[in-house]
Amino acid sequence: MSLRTGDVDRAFKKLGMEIREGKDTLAFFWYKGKLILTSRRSHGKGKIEGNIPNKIRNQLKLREDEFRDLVQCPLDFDGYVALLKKQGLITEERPAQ
Amino acid sequence: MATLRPTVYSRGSAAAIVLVDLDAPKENGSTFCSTPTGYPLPDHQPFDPGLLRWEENPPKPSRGEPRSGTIFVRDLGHPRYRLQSALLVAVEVDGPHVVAFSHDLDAFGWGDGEGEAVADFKAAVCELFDALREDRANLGPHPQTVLRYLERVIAEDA
Repeated sequence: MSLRTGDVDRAFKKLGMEIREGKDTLAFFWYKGKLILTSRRSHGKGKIEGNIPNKIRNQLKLREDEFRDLVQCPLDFDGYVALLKKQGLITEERPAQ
Repeated sequence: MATLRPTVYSRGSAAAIVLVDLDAPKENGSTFCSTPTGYPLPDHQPFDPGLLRWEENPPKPSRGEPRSGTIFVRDLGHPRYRLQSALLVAVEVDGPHVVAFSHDLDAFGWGDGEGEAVADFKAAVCELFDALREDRANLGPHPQTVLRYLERVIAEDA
């Protein structure tokens, strides 16, 4: 799999991830005030090749087809949250009785 | 119940203990790996046996050629952070690049050679540690697990 850095940036943006620029671009996915996961990509505007897109996909907790959907657009924020809930990465706190 | 056989894989002075599931088909990710600290992989993720296969039947790379396998990282190359126990890191040769990653931490680094990839991995771990500590009060389940692990293995010098 080969991606452009712009594809990854668009995916981060689509998920509403917080971006922090350091040595690399760090991306933080927040949901209801909780940090759910983090990802990163290197600076530069070229292609991200080889196995690195898979490492980014793993950090986003997506299968290959889901990651493709994210990059190519069908997967949106709500769909992503549903996938993370299914994996137990987002847990809703029950209101106090 | 699965039959697990402890198997020692070694490379130079480094070694990893891996539990091989004898009942599972080989191609089905049947190998589970324990880290040097004995800390289990998150959610008992299957460890890709392909990463270690060369250890069973090591190829003979030409001099200077990087090869895939696992190594122990014993420092973070950071002025204050010191590793109290080594991190098990998988190194993958990926075309012209090398990728170093940790299943435990879900962190990776890359570069043109193994040294560069491992240095990038160390920087990624330090960045992750700083970020998670900064947001300690607001972590979901996965980052909480990662921070607990990092706090166990990283000591901070005054």
